[in-house]
Amino acid sequence: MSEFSHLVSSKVNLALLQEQALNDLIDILDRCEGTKVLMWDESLTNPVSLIAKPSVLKDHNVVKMFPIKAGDLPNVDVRNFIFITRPSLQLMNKIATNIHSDEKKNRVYRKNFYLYFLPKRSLLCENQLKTKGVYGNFQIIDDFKCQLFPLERDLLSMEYPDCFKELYIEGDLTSLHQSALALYNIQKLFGKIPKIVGKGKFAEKIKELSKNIVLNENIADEKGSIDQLIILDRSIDSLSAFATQLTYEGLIDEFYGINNTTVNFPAEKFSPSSEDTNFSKVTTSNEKKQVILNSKEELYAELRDKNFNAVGPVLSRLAKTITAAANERHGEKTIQELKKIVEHLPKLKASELSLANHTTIASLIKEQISQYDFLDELSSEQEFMMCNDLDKPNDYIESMICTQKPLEKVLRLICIQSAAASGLKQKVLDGYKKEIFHSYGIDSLLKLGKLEKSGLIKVQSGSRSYNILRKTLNLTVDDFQEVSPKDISYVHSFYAPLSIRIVEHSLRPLGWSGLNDILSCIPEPSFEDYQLAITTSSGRRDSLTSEISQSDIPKTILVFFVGGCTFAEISALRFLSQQDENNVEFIIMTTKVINKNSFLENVIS
Amino acid sequence: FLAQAEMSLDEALDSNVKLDSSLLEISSNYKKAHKELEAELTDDHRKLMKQQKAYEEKYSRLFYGLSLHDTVKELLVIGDIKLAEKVRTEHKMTDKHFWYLRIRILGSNFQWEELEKF
Repeated sequence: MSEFSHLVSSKVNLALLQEQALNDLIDILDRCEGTKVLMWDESLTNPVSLIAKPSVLKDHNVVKMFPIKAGDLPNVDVRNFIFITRPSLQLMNKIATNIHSDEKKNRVYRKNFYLYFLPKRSLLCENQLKTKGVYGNFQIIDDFKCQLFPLERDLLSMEYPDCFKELYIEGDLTSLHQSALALYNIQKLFGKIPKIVGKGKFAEKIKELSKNIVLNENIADEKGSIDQLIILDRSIDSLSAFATQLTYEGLIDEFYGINNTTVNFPAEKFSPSSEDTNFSKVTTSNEKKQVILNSKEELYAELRDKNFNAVGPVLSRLAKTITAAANERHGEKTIQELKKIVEHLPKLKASELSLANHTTIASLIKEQISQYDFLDELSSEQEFMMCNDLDKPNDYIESMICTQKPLEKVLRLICIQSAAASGLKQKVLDGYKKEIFHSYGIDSLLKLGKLEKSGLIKVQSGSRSYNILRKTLNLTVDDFQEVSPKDISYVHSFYAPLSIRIVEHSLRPLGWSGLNDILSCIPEPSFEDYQLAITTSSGRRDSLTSEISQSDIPKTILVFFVGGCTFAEISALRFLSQQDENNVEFIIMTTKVINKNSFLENVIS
Repeated sequence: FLAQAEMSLDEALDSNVKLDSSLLEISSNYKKAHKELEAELTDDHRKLMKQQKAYEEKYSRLFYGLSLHDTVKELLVIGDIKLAEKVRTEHKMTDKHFWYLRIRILGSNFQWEELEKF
């Protein structure tokens, strides 16, 4: 399966998850004989492309695919219609109108309908179908149990963007159950995870739920290939979610939006020669150039986690090697040497293309980050991170409001101020609210209300936990290095994301328990639990760290972010695993990869 | 009550016609939820909407539903500085906010002599 080679890994092979999901999908297709049409919940088409390529669907008699829309069914002469959808009431209503319209049109020769819920049926949806009187029209109603989409050999996403909103604003706990099921599925494939630690009330709930499932389903009582699970609530570190990412991949995501490893750039910026399909899978339309970004492309694998300031040197170094290699062709050569060169040509050509593309992307980004607005926003954000002037209204924020800059930008900075100050002074918050109201009108009240409800903006009470942690965990680093970093803080130039600092500290000899004192200033539960007694040769229970330090095998830790994580955080974890002294490999699991814009928009929409 | 206030505000915003009639109820729900500031702002908005209707008749321009910022801006663009001043004092717009607007409008109208008076 070369198409998914970027997922293959020797230790915990996430390609297994892709294969499993693909088999489930094929199963669904084969349960319905003959040619068929697939009707997709639109939000799923992209994620599903991460597990199945179009040719597979064709091989299994899928003639066409359409997004689910209300009204008439698309006019195709096919008898079988398979709906694949998230359990959403809105979509149920649309599907019902489809079926009603078919009933009216075809009195005799009716279509066959199949319905699959991803990842699980919901009673609510089934009842809705019954109310609409179409429940009986389906040949099969079943689950498409696919909770996890592998994006990379070390990265899993549930593609569940509403998780944070549901948990913190709507009080809907569905995502916790699905997370627990996903964790169970991982353990079914890769074996039991002996130790689970974490911070946050939802993290704790997920731990309880998944532990129960694992217990009931009888997974063999031996350690699998994952040594430890760390679960973190997004709410314990909202600052890092709102911070501007300064890594290559993070910046691409913030400006252009990476969705399921795919991103669209304005096509006119790319030279026509790069339309060659050697460079990943490239399709050009009039305005957009679609690029797939994953580790299959060597250069991208090298660039993605770097601070943007380190991208230029890599590009120019590669340019030099390519020119040198190209020059080698000239001059006299023996037949053998020539043969070798010819063999290398395709590879040379591919890296040339890849270089051209990334030079273009990098210059697009450079242009954007050199603009005054970006730099001003960044510097006021950084002032907050350093805990400067947290207790008064910020001049820059006020001037943004007075000049009606996009409300989202204003709200993001206020969220950062609130997170850094561990809550705003009442007077400051009221001042902002009033100004925002005057500038943006009455609908802004709703957005502010949501941010308050979710705790992303709050009034100060209790201790200043961020400032305490900033000192004890060294979150803002003085002698920072962007180009050849020695510390994870490079992902935001000088700020180390709290979430990842927590993971980093838990690698130390004292382990998770050593962190309890430090983390006690965050008023959320912290836990440490075992699914298997960890025994050393003497048969006594011991901490995992001392056990592993006896061996040279790196341990594997699964880090799960409930409510999303950023590419900068992912890069920081990769950086940690590259440090030899840590002797650790990470697998990162998130409900969705987020950035400062998408996170905020999702909460206030 | 907070949820109720926000829900009816959300509904009212969807159908702009209903907004001014429901603001009273919304504000009282905010008050019950001890959201004094939100209640006060909603009340202010109700007053503003009433005034906006009068301005629409006076200048036959669209005012209804604009934010305070945009209302004052429109009045400044028209050149009714007196009325703009009146609206901003009535609604307690900060000096800073008002002068930001004033300077921008003067600048965009190329009224440089006026600008120099600051």
